[in-house]
Amino acid sequence: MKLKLLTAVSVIAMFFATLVASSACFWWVYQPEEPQLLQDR
Amino acid sequence: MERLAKNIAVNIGENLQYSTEKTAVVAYGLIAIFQMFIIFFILSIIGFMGGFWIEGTIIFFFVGLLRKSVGGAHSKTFFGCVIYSVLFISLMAFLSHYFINPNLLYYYIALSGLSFSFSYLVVYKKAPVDSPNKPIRKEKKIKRLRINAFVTLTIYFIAVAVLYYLSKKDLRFSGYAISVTMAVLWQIFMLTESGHKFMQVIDRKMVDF
Repeated sequence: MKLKLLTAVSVIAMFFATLVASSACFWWVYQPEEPQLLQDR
Repeated sequence: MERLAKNIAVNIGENLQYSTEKTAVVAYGLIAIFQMFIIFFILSIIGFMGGFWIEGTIIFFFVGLLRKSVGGAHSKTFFGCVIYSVLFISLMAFLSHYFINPNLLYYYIALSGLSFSFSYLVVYKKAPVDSPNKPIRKEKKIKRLRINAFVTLTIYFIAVAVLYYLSKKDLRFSGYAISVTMAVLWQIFMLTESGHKFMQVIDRKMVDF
């Protein structure tokens, strides 16, 4: 159950991360350092 | 909040045996989710209390969507971002809601027209504006973002035109049109040198939590 929850959270987080990576920046005025895996997407 | 996101990501990474890079991606995604939801949650409370939730929501989404294509000035801290976002969205939403005068409708239309003309020019000259934490190097990506920016602006322009048309029946729609115009102006301001300096000045006043 715990693993399923963590997997679900991980999938959602990675979806948002990929969404942000393909754009110019985060949603509003803060931009944390982008992980190398997502750079140049 | 960043630390919380990173801790959750590390926990996920350990349990699901992710690499360091994959864990970093999860953390990055969680920070994005936290930022969006915290700002929207606080904004909703203020919006409901002040009676300008709709205008606030319009500005929140319209700035966010345009920003994804054009980039812009950034705050150095997570909480700085939350505070400025809530403050400026609330201010713009308040003005859009409470300072609408039916006798000035054609002035609002003219103002929106001028704002969009200026916005197209700034986007043409400046977009996309990247940051040290998220550099944009690929020509293909730059081109794609620029096209997205112009398409987004055009959709907003059409939305504003429709809202002004509808405002003949209900003045509230002109408030929504002003909200969209303010959202565009704010984001365009964030592309300029002045916008960057403004962000630096107010960043200096903030404490990193």
